[in-house]
Amino acid sequence: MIWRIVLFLWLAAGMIAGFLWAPVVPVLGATTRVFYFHFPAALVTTLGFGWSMVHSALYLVRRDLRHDDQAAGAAELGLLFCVVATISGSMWARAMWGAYWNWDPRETSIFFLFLIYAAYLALRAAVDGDERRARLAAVYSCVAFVAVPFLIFVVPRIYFSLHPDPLFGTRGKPDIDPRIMLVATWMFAGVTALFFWLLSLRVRLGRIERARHDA
Amino acid sequence: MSLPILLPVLAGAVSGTRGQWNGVPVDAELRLLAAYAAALLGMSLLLYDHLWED
Repeated sequence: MIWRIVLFLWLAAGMIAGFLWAPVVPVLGATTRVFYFHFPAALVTTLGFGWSMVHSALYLVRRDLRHDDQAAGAAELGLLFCVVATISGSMWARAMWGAYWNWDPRETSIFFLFLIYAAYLALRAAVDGDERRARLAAVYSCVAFVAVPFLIFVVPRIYFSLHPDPLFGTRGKPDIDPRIMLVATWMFAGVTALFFWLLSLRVRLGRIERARHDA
Repeated sequence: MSLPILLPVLAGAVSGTRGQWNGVPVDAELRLLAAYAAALLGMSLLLYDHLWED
């Protein structure tokens, strides 16, 4: 219980610091604050899909349904954070570019990711039987993760994008104010903890549902 | 189900074709498609037995 309160206070402190302590980037103005939600959500999306792939591979090796619970939960939460990143990015795009959606390479990439993992959930819903569903979903999750590094890291660097550059400049050093970097890192840590807490709830729920179904 | 996974291939192919028509170098698209194909092929080889069970 106590660490849930700590997590709440941690995220609240990050938001307050983002609004009151960290400076704004001159070009971006007040929209800089979107960064403290968008950046952690985008990274945790990648983390969720990666976690899903790792546990899918573990399921295929060990045939333990606990790994399937982890894989399914991580993919669902990854999709949730993907939606958060997309919405926060669209709000920022509306303020800076004048439209919510511009088919920028990064917008297109995250839309493709959304479709890929929505299909994962559709596959899980369409297959009967715990073992069969877990095996097919694990295979799909492993194949789907092949697209993640291409869509997140490769495509936005190949095509011209209006999206602000990544945090690190050409010399491998942060290009932004250290206070902004600190708040972004703080929020990333908090959102990552939030992800694992929600994942633990989802995994427990999955086990309870299976136990009830088996009874 | 595999269609979303092929979306990057479709997007790269469309972009490359458009670049070719416009006389723009398409090296980046070709590298992207080759790397994606190699990654998918490798993963498919690893996973084939698990699908074959079905």
